[in-house]
Amino acid sequence: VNASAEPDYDDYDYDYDRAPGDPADPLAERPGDKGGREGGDGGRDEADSGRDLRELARYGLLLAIAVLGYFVVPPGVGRAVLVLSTIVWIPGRCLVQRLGLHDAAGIWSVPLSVLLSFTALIILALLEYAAFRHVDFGPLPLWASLVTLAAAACRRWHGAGFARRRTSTSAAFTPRGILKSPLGTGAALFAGVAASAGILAGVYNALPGQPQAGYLQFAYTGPYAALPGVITASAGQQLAIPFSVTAVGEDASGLTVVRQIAGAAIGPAVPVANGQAVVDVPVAGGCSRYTFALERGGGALRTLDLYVSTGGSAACQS
Amino acid sequence: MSAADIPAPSGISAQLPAVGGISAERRAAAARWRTAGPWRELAAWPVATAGAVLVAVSYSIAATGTDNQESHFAVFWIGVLMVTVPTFVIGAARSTPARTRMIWVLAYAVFTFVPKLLRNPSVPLYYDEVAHWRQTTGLAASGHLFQSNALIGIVADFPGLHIVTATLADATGFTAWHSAEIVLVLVHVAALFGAVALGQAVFGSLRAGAVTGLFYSLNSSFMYFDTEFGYESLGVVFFIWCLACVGWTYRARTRRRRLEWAIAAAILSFCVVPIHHLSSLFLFAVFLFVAIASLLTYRGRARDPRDHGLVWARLGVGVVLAATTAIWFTVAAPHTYAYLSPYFNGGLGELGRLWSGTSNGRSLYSATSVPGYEQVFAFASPIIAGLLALAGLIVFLRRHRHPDPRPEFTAWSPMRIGLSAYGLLYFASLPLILTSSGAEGARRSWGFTYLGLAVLVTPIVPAVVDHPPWRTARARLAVRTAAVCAGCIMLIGNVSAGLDEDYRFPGPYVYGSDTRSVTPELLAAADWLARNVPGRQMIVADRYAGLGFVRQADAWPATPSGGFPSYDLYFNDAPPSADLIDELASSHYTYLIVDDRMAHNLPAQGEYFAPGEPTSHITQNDLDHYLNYPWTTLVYRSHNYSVYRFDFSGFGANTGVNTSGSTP
Repeated sequence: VNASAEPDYDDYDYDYDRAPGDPADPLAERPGDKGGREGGDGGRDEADSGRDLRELARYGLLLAIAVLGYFVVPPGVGRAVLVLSTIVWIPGRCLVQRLGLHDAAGIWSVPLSVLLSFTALIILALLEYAAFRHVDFGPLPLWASLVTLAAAACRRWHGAGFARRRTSTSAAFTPRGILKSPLGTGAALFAGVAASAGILAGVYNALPGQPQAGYLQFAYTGPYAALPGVITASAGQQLAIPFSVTAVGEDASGLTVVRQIAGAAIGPAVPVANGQAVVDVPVAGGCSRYTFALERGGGALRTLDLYVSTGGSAACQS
Repeated sequence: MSAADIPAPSGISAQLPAVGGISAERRAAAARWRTAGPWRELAAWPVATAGAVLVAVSYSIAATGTDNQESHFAVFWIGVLMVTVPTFVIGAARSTPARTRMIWVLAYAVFTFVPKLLRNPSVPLYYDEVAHWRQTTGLAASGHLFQSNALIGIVADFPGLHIVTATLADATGFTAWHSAEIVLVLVHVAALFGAVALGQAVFGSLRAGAVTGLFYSLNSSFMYFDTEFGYESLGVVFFIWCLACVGWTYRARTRRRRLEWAIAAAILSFCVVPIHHLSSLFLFAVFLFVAIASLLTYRGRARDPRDHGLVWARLGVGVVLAATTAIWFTVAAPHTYAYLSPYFNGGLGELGRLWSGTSNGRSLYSATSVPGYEQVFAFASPIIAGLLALAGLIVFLRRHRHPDPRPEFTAWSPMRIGLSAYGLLYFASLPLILTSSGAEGARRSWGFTYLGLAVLVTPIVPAVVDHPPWRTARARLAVRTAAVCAGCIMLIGNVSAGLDEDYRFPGPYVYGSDTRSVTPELLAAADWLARNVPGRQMIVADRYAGLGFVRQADAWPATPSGGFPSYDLYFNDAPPSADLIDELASSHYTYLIVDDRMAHNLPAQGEYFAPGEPTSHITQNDLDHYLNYPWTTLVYRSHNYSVYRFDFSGFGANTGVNTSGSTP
């Protein structure tokens, strides 16, 4: 292999998707586009100006729809469809336009717009946090879109203008032309992705998954779940202690809770019903350690502890 | 089937004159593409879907199969290669039209997101994911940036990803996880497109750009690590696109265009800093390499008037990045150095000891369950990359013998030279994989250095494919097949080297694995805590149970260290030291989580808690002695998990609150 020679990369792109001199490629410069103050507005004409205004108007309309969606439509897919453009598209696209890159970047303006949208959100959130020590994330993309839309409109207003874009031709109205137009391509790609995702989701859900081992849990519930260690009660007081029992993939029948003190059972076993059991415990004097056993047929499956003291926790710790 | 296989319309070559330097033969080939219809574009989606379905099948086999099966690996790679091979062929082929090339690259980008998406489509699973997800939910709930993070402290200092995800979640009403998936798929596609855009900017050809992008996609982070919900997944995209924008400043022909690209690059470089520390640092490293390349090639370029002007604008991008990094790392993220330095210094120190023979290095693929071919390919991958890089260096060194017809600054811009030199850092990082401290850092760096490596080797691919040394059709086909096979070997090897099987595939329970330790039993325990004890609870748990409690109950697990050895609670059957009790009490730790399997299993990831933990084994007595103390009340029990409630008041600890209460 003659690796020392710089290869000739291209490629048939030039005569397929782009006529010679077509400015669609970032490499191509328009006649008269000398840049900025040196070269005026880069060949703008009235038609371009009108298209720019229409594009801005479209974004303004999308923003209005998003505002309406955010405040009217309940959270979910419906609202997402309406506001998503203000999160992933409008701020970045307006920034790209503000910078004048929407033509020069060509196809790359799409991912660049997405990233710049995220950039706008991050910068705005940091500014909001610096000012108010709090960020309200919900309306953030609406503000970001509004600010960047205003910035893009400012550029238009002050006459810097937008660069000329490749215009669609009458060929775009043929079926093949529609498919090859940006909107048609985007719609076709979206349809392709959606169809693929649908098939994949169906297959994924139909395939057998991980078999999971069952479990049997025995725990305090209600206020006793958050008990602060040794609890203090008065002698003779009756405590009603609630338990939860959850059996997943295990036999939940015939379960009872048995209370014990110092290893000796006190009172009858309390059956578990609907995963719940409430056990009454009479408080003895001093520090008592109660044990509650979840049993089936006399065999203990799980146990829990409870320390009750009539003289404060120190009586137990000592 | 290549373009050459499609018959040209009769006489088309003769009818087409050379236009814009394009020969009639090439135009005829392009015409063949046109007459072939759009099926090559449309085929991308069925192929990608079929590949994705096979990936899903492989996961199902892995989830339901036995431990020693390897068939899920084979099915997985068949599915992946079903998409990868045609993408390589169509993406790198000379005759592919731009639109077809882009559609296949897009389909490939979306497809490479699928393996990670299917791994955990509805909940965070990887350790870093849980940390970032919790950070996002906390951010969305409170509106406060820079909140502390229970699992990875440094995450709090870089809120860029969390801002974007929380915004999407709050604005749409989606869950934080689904919002994260939307962000991730967008940035994953943008990452590959960015690499293609960079390649096109550097080489002036979309085909070369596609080669750059596809080569970049072979790196070990692309398919799994940079698709997880972590700040690097977003940071690396900004890293790539900032470089792409800088690359376009070299390609642009007017001052205004350069300025526009430079401003875009400056905005992205400004924003990469609050997203991810390593992305900022690697971006800065690239700028250094490009600046050095600019200085070294200044004489040659100075003669070309088209390269004049707006040097300050490019310089400005670097200045913006440097200033933002310095300010952010000083003011908002002062712990960054302390977080990163152990990986780097520890790795280098260990490497030094390895070199001097005073210590043994890591054994690669020891006790692994990945198939032998993956292991072989993992070792072959750097060798192939090395050979390609060597060829790239030869191209560079002999560039004056074979001058390119294009202007010198276009063919060999400082961007290309600097990026190529930066790509060689990949080889410098390889020895670190043999060290315990540096291995993780080395792997992380490959997602960044591979971009430079891609730029270095991009010219070699068309040279090999278009001009093989043997001129017969069969030999050409063999060379092209070998090129595709080499790409597949690199892909398989790098993915295998990047993550172990537990992260890549679902499967049976494995103690001590971040991803395989999550069971319904663990989640039920965490659910019980979340349901019955309101508020964020401070817990002491091993790494794997702690992860489940963070995910499900928003608990705050102790981060053990030499100064706070909370792991001592598990490693002996004596009561803990007074210092530890005092520390636990004053920090308001309220629950102790015990997994009985600690006494019977060694953790798959090598540690129960954190580096520096005792090396002795945990016994059942060590775990059971809490049944005997009144300061640890057993409040929850399932088959494997016990939850104890702490009550340190009896120790006279300075808890700040009276933990001994009255009757509930």
